[in-house]
Amino acid sequence: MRQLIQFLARNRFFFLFLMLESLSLILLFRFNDYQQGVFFSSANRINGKLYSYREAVSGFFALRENNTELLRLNSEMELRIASLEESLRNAGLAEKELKAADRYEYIQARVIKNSVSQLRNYLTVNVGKQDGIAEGMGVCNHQGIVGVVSVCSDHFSVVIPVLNPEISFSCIIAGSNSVGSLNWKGGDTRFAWLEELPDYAFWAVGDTVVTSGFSDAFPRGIPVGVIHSIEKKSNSSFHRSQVRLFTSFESLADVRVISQFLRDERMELEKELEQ
Amino acid sequence: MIRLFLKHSLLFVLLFLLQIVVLQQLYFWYVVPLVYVYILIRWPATLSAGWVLTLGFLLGLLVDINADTPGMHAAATTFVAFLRPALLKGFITKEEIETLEPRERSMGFIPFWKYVISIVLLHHTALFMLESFSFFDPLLLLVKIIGSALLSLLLIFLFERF
Repeated sequence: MRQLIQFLARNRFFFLFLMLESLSLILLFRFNDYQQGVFFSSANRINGKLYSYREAVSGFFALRENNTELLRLNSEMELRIASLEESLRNAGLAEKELKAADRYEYIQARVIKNSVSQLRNYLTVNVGKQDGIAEGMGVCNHQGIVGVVSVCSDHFSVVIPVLNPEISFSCIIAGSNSVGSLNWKGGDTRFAWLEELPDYAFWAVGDTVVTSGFSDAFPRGIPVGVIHSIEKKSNSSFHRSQVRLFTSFESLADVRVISQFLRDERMELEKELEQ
Repeated sequence: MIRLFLKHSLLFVLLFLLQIVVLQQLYFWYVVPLVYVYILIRWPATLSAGWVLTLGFLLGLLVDINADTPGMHAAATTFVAFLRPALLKGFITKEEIETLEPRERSMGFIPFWKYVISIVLLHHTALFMLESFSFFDPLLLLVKIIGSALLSLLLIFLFERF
């Protein structure tokens, strides 16, 4: 016993090193999955505050630019609404179609922390549980898909963006209904991969990729990107293709979280099936 | 003693804020300067090895909490904190150790930069290897290590001139 204590005392520096290093590695391998605790993420209160202040300063200088962009978008939307309403009325569908759109609600949020240079990127937004955000909700902006809410505290949430290899999104090629799974593999932030596309699918370079609506997070038809190149594996009946993303992740500022009114009902139903 | 403590606390806070509020948000083609290791580089040689290790771990953990990478920076920083006493001993003579704060002026140009370059390279290599654990791309890894190390060293070079 005494010898053991002496041994430990003599090598205490080395044991302290082993202890701290294993603690780090445990944190790394246990918590790096996307269910990390709020405490160890930038959604905790102190960090949230810090990033809000930083964002307030940089946001102020970008106000004019954002304003112009918003005005431009607004007028674009007005034109589109007018032409859509017109065609709906012509088709006699107005009532029914507009009801379907009512099933979703957008919650506006600002990105207060963003990273794109890491392998597993995360971003933090300034809305949380008290604003009606829940884990698993989809996030998009005016350009297209952004990511999925991973954890939320009362006032902040961490979002896993497309630029994180640990997450994939169910997507379809607009017009052909071929389903694939969108995943980012590190490297260039403008491109991601659409995998598991069936052999018989009809599609070509330049086709638009949108969300499929098969997951709880996104309704069908949120823009994702366009097919940039195609790669066929010789020994498999599946293709994969490179997708140029619509969203520019380096300059994310305003995003919206998609809240589905019937989300709970749908999740309950799917849970019942699993049991 | 108190002055030394205050000076290093201030350095800690300023460099840490610079890292998480400014540098971590920049984007130069996958490359991030990690100047927070300069905090660890500057700790006095008289600080005991156990303290260097503990503070190094905490420094890494604080960066992790802000970068949403629990354990990654902590592991890399603990690793270089463990090697720091040996590296310092290798580059300075015995008499100097008593009072020395590792700087270019006090250690001499070549020993100091040997020490800094070893710490920065070891730290960045450990960090980016851990980052690429589940996702190995040797070329990207090399670009990240070398690019980030060059930027970090450039910034440290500038700090040494202040």
